[in-house]
Amino acid sequence: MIPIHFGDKSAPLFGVFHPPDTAHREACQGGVLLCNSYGREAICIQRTLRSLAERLSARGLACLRFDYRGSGDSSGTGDELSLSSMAADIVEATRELSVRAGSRRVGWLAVRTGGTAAVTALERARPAHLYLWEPVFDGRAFAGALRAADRLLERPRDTGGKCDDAVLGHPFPRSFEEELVRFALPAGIARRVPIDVFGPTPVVDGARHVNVSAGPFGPDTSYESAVVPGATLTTIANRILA
Amino acid sequence: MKVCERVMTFGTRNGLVGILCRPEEEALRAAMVIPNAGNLPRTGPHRLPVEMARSLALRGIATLRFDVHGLGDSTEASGDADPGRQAALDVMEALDALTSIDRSIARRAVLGLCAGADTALAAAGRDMAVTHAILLDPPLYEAATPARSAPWNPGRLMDRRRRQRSLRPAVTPNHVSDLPGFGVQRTPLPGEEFASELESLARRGTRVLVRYSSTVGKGLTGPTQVLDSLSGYQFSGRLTIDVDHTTDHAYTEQTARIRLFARVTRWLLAEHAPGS
Repeated sequence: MIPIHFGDKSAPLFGVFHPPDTAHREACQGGVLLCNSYGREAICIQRTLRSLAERLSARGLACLRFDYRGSGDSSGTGDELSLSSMAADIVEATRELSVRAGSRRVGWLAVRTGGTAAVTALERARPAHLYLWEPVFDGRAFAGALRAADRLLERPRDTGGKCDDAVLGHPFPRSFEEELVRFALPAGIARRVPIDVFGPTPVVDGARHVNVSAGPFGPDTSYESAVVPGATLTTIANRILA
Repeated sequence: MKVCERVMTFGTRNGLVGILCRPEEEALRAAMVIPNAGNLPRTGPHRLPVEMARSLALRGIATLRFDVHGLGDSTEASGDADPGRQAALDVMEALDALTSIDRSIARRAVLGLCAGADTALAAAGRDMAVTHAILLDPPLYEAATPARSAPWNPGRLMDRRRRQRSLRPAVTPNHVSDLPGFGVQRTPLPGEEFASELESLARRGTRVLVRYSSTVGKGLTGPTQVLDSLSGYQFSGRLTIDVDHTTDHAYTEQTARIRLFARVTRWLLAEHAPGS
């Protein structure tokens, strides 16, 4: 596991590269880019994605986890975050993973809004395979749920001012919200790229649906309850390795 | 002033992962280590450690925010050490790694939020190099009987006769099971140990800033209440208590985070009388 900065040297992205296990190097089939979600979900799922990357790399797949610009340890501030910037970062990270893995065969595993960004990124790059984990395709409902949860958040009596462009303490620029609301799943997308969807319900016509229980997602998820069952992780890892 | 960041791996087998954040060219005025808040990855709640690091770097303060063993991007601990003890050892490793970039840095600080405050206190107690400790929402203690409704009961605390009769200088954990923990069940020090630890730090010259949010400090009207509960101990003016009712435990609002950064910077860089 190698933590790295990559991309534009003056404003790099942070990532963690998981080289393939040397015992499987010959069998290495390329790499998998893990595209996290946004905000609280990204924090809740961080350790799970690490665990998944470790499983995949132990079986010969190079993996890269990374933080979007304006999030985590990457450069930038939260007000730079948008669906299009996330998509651009996915493209940048794909380039980095290809170089490090020595292979152009890179798949994407994208979680929640990471899935929304990944689909957006298809305009600029094409993964070998797209794995979507409970992707957010109804951006209006997603944004509405966030805003509703934010209104219900119990706050100190005088916060000294609330930032309008934040929900639940995470930056949520209007431009990002508008992009999410405008998002529409392109028709026939599963004919352009092979897609697997992990989750309790099928959401993409023509894609393979892999049934796993609902993950620790949504605005109400607490850090305490953010646990992904081992069976879910095994199902996802096995499907990617298949 | 420009800020630069680089990845640092350190500790046994380079198993600890963190981000060094510092001013690009300016001389360093202080160095500070920030371990995890609870079980969260090092980027913390609402990216607080990241924003703080970049803000402090603009004032000449280098930071190393990092994951202790078993969290975030760091490896699992190799031995069977108690997790709390291991985390404190990790903080000491981090401070060593951070100060290795400039051994002349005189002000060496640790900052912890929530369970990270417990870790920071334990590390400061073990590491004589720590000159400043910042504890954000460490456990709040009250006299003997736990309050039934509120985590803090000022009336009970302020009952001097009762405190002196049976408790002085004892302070005991009150609402352990209700402590906000960012995914971890906190097991705070017994109150007497907490107070003794603070006293030991003060005695050796380490300054401590304890800051309570409205979540943990609910019911507190000000620092005096806390200091009063610690009246049996000597801090020689090196203990500062803040009570900030305008923020919650997770520093959810950006405005609260900005105020925190300013407060920490001001406190850390404050000039003190020689020998004080």
